[in-house]
Amino acid sequence: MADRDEVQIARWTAIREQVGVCLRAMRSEASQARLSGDLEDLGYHVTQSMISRYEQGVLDAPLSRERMVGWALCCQALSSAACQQMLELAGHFLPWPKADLKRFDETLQRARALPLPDQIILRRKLLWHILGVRELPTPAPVEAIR
Amino acid sequence: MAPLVQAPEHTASLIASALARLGSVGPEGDAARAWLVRRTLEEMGFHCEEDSPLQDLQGFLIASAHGPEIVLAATLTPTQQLAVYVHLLATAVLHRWDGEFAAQFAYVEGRAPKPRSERERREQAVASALARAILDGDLGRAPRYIYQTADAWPKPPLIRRWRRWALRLMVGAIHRVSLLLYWYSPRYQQLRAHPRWVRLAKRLSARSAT
Repeated sequence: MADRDEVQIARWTAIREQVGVCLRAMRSEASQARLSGDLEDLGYHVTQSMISRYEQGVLDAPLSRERMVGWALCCQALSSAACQQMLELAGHFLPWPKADLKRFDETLQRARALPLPDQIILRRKLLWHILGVRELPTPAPVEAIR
Repeated sequence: MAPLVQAPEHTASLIASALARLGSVGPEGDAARAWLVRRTLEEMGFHCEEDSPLQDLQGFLIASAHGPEIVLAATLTPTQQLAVYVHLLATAVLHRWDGEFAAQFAYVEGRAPKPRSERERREQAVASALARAILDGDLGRAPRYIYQTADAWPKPPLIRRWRRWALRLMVGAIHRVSLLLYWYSPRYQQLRAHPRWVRLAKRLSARSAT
């Protein structure tokens, strides 16, 4: 695990409970297991246990900008007030107008009617567009059935 | 604000011209046509992928400030690839998306959800008609205002401007009525693609541009 600065630890400790409230609000009615699975499909290593602890505000490891964006994307909450508040608390910024974040969420909601493999492919592409980087080549094909 | 898809109408025009030059080669030549369309799209800044394990989607287009991207299912035949590329491009031409993000899906036949509104149903029909015009190698089969705004027309020399102003006003009105009918009347879409109408429209546009 990378060393963290004292300042970073202190800052995260001060905001992690509020961030946890925002994360819980974004997840809404979706289960932690499902969110964990969705994040794993996007290439994140966030277990269900970590989700629970992040939401309770007890996890020491700071939540990165990439994880926050991935979390919001999987919850279709990029344009939500909770997401905005979470990013502000952590000092992160998404260079997208609110109308476009809403369009991202609408696209993700529309994609919910698609089979899972299609959703995963689309979410991966959207994630890289939101973060503004070109997707790295995937080492293994996407599994059709989880 | 810069458009999400740079000059989609110009891309459509290039592709239509290239397909017209290639000529009618039948289904066995669709691999070459699909390759030609893909290369043209890539030259115009699109990032294209053709090996995605999609199931209910034939493909999708994502356009953002980081560039437009088209992803196609790996199971498509060259004929299907050609159709999906052109259909997604036609959608980009039609919408002239603003903002910094847009997405469009192309569904496998029979898997598309019902249109959410009458407007959406019309948009799909017009995009299909425009795609057919591109595939036929002749954008003239669609109303000019679909793919070219009046501002893009070449201006005549100053000395002749006043005389042409009245003619352009009249021609502009005709184009607008044509565009309106194209949106609301499937029958007019078929009529507009008829070779005689295409020749008439081209003659009219040529006279107003000189």
